[in-house]
Amino acid sequence: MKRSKKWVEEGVMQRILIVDDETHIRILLKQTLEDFEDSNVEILTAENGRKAIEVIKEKKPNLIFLDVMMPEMNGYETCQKIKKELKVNAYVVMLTAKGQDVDKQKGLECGADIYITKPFDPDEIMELASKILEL
Amino acid sequence: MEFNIKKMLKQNKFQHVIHDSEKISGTFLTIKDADGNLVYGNDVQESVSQCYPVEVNGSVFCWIIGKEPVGNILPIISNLINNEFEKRCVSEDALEKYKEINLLYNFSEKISSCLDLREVCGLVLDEAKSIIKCTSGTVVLRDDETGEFEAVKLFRSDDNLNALNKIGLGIEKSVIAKGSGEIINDAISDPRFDGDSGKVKAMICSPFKTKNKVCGAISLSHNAHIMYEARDLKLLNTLATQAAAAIENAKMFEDVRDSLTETLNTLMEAVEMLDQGKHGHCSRVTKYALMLGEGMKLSKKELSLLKFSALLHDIGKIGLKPNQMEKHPVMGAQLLKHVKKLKDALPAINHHHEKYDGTGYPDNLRGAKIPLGARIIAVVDEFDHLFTDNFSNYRTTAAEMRKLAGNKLDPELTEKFLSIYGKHIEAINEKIEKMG
Repeated sequence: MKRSKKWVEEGVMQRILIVDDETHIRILLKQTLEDFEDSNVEILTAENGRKAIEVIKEKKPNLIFLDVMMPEMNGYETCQKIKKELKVNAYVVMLTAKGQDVDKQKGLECGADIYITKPFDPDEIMELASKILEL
Repeated sequence: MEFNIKKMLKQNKFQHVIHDSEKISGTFLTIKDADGNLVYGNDVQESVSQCYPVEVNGSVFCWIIGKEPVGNILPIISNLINNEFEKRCVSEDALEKYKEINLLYNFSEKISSCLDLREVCGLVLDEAKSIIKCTSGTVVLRDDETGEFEAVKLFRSDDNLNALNKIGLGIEKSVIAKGSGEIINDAISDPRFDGDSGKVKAMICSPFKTKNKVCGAISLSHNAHIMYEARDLKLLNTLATQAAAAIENAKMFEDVRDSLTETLNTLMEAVEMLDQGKHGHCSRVTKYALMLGEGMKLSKKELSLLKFSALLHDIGKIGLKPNQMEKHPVMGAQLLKHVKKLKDALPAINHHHEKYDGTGYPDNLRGAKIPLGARIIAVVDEFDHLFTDNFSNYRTTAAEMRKLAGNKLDPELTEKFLSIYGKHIEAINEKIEKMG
């Protein structure tokens, strides 16, 4: 993790965005992260890439959990758009069931900051979020 | 399980239902939690409104307060809340399983690469106590030769380990004999229990079982009256099975290593028998070389290779006539070249008679071109000759050594060794004075 880059902006509300087409993953991730709500972090969800982009443009989350296998616009395309087109300053966690090395490579090439496989480790997710959100 | 009503009510679906209900019924809702704290709406006098309880899981979760029409909305809101509660139960369970699975994956990886017996025991105890609630834990191993049991690793969260109370191994021994794990939620009533009854109320224990052998066990206990469940035992059994395989590996590795060391010691004594009067030379040189190596903070692997080179540095002397002794470094390397395990130790043996100024043999290597192991052995070999053979005292020997620094011996290594050995001598003298 690059220490020099800060993902937290002074005076701006922190937001986490969870993007996954599977309802249960959105629920589980939200529940894992819900303690951050006590620190005034808003947790948002989106069920596909297209809707995610809308939320990102409007709410500007600084931490994004992004699934890969989604209809309409998959995680790779969404990540490219976020990082390379819109150039949003958000930490993107690619969270996916795809496990091949080539999948991970592709994810990192699209601009993902870290690639985590499912089933995720709730403790690992909490630790990562704490670091990025500096909480 | 925590179920925060305020947070829940903030969710969109609840907000919609509540607002729509207020519109339809034409009244405002007030919601209070089970303790009477206001969580939604304005506080109202309870005498002019009706209070409707919402029950979840058999007890009152919150109160919905408002004028009479509110009674019609109650079932809808109650349903929503109960659904939410059920969903939460399921997700909490799922998240716990996610945690367990990941812990097991990580544990598998860590333990399969561990070859040190005590480390394996420490690892399995650390992992077990992080997943299963407990206030103390013990890892017991059985000695293969004596059959005796030893508590190899301990964890006590509420005790000073140094003032250890009696460690009872009654349950552990029984589990080992039976070969299957057990939960004992009332340890004190169990006749096999012989530990500290003040500290142990509930216990769970799994054997380290491989094929047909049980070589030990892990047990966790709690000082409160908790109930260990079947899933705790399944988890502990899983950890114990993996640990058992790793323990067997570690033991085999140790056996092989010990056999190798014993064989080498025999070879070393054979060499010493040739050179009468040099009895103990190889073992002293090895000891000194390791002292210097540790002082230089060499890695475990480097130290191991150094040990082999030092033990066998003179082995080439076997099979050489007295007038051929100059060939012994090369001969030694030749003799050992077929032993794959010692391949990396050969350069040190081959070159231990090179001189720092390049006038040594066999290859006239100079300075840092001489392998480090060879330079170390040259220093300690010389030291042993001067110190032991000539019965010099330490100061004289050190002075003689310093004369050779730079021409025969590596100056940096010489100084380093003398400082280490000097401190060693001081420590011994101190001890003698204390005794005297």
